[in-house]
Amino acid sequence: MRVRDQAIRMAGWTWPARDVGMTKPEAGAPDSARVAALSDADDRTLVEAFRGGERSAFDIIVVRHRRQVYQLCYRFVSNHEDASDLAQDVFVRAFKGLQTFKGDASLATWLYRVAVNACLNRVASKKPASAPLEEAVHVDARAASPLDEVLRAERSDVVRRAIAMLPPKQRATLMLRVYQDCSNEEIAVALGTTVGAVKANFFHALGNLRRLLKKT
Amino acid sequence: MDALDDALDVPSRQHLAACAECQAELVDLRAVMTEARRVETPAPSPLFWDHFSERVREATAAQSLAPAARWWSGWMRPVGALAAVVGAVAFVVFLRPASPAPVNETASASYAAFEMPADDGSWGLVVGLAGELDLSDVRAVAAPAAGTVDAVLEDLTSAQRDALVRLLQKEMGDQ
Repeated sequence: MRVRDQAIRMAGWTWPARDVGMTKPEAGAPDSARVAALSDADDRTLVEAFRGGERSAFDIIVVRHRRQVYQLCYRFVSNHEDASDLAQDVFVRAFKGLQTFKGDASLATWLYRVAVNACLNRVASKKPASAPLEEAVHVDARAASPLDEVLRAERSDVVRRAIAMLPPKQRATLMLRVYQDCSNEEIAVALGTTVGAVKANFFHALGNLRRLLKKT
Repeated sequence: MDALDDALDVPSRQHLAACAECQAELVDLRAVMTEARRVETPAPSPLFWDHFSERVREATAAQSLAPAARWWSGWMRPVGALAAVVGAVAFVVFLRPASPAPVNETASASYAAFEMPADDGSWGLVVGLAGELDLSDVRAVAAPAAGTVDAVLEDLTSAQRDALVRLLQKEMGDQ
């Protein structure tokens, strides 16, 4: 069965005989039932339904991917407010761009690509961190955490700042690989580059990160 | 990088097994990767996610939700129109039905050599006119533009016109 037909059947929508676009569901088909049916659909089906005019399909896409997109953005900007704004921007761009989404890559990979582009633009427009790592670390000891928790938090902050100092492509490669568990092929699609370049960038990212961390 | 993925080919694996320097490098890189992996992002509150979805919904509310573009819309439309025009021109130029055989200089010359019956003055008039015709005029007649025939008839003298009428009447009477 074709994906579109599957989406239509699941959502209770009908296509006119001459395929002039999605029509409203028959009277009596409850919205909640349609949304419930779509919420179980795979990403490809949701994209098809959205492109056919089903707005609630996009809401489900947001719910399904917002956490991963937010986390990726957070790793770039290291603060909640900017990460939240960036993640919202990613989904607004996705809303506009999904009509042209070809489906060659997974929806998640495509969203990562949108997110990385948005993040790199934001990072490029901001002054890069220049303070030495050892001077920047400050953990509030009044948080009444055990000592090892404080030390761990300190070390995490050092590593986070070291990653922020990596060149943009290396940084994006490292994040997609380490935190989003993307394969080299998926990273290549997300960054618009080759698998060979991904491997090289990841190697250099780890090497540079090691050098930066050894300074502390 | 293949070593980090445990995806080394056999020769590289054999080298790694024998090379202490490469082994140390690999251990080092794995340690860095592990340390990077430990860095966590703070989890926003569950309320944030509802608020986030609402923000996205508001931000996209003004956007129109047009169905996916069809093949004949967008850039295909002007291309299709151009193809239709080219096709029409090609049909007229190359595939016009029952188009007369091309006339060349040799064919024109043969009009003068054509032996007419001595007693038929009308045919003599037509042959005489044809012999005076320029090749481009013949082509123009072969594919006459609108009004061309009327213009030619108006250029005929009354004697030529009478002869032409007699000729046409004779031809129609023969059929």
